[in-house]
Amino acid sequence: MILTKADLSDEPQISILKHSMDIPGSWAMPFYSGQYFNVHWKWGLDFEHLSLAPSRLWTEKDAVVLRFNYSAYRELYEIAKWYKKAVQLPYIVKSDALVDPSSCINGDFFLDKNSSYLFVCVSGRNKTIREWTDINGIKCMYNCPLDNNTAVTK
Amino acid sequence: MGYSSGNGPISLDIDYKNVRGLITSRTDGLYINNTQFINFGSTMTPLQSCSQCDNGNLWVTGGKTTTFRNITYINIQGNYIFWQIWRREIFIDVDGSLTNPALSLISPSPAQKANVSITAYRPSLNFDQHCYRLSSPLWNDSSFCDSPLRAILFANAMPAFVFAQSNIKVKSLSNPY
Repeated sequence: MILTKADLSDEPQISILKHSMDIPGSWAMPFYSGQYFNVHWKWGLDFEHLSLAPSRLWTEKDAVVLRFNYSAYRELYEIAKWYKKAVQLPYIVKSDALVDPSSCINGDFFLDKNSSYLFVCVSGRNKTIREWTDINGIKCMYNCPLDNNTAVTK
Repeated sequence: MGYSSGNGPISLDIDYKNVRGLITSRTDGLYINNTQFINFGSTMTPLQSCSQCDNGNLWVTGGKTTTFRNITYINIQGNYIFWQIWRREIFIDVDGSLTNPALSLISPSPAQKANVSITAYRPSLNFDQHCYRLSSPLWNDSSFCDSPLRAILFANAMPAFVFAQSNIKVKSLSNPY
């Protein structure tokens, strides 16, 4: 499917200054509950880290699934909740099936390596009032490529 | 009150141009209850979003939500809403009174009229029979949706220098793939 400009909500990043008391380097927009959305940045930028902060108004009835496509190699994603000024471990266990906005809880995610899609659920279910979802894209952890400069010993 | 009957300026449309009845806050959670907007001329607007968001020192990221209940309009001659510069705010209409004048612009009339929301139009809110575009200037090109819209903030994208000043693009998907 070829996307045109008419298909996309294009939200610029606003330069937040300190005295605005808002979050610098951020984007925010409304979402309609119960739907899937594709989120990407111009030129297909791949993040190594991203935070998602649903507003405190999300209820148990509200949920969306965000799809992030990526082109850089990602062996896995480590996703955790962030509140009380700390990452809440252990990391969220990835789902074995596509997450569904009708039932998923906040932070649920599914990684489709074949299609290079990361699906992340944002929901009011199982969410504290001021909870963020912390997403880390890991280039490699268990299957790192060999260093080309590794010396070969006889 | 926009202007008092018999006590308005000589040139109402000029002297009271861009006068607003209520401007919502730059933060979440403002609740407007039991409010009447009376006598607003053709260049006056009862509602505006995001106070001072046209100020580069004060603007905020967006998605700030205001809730409305028991809103009444009397003698509104011009537009009802003005979305401030970045157009990302959400107005939740608990009982349908805020958006009632807009229903005549939607055909067929939506089944859900209470606990609805309105925001500036964006393509990612094109959902047939759930979100309706109000392209009329009366509503400053809005989306009327049959349930409360919710905001998501995206932050701390890294590498930071790569994402600085980058636009985020959102598209609604009819199916996940």
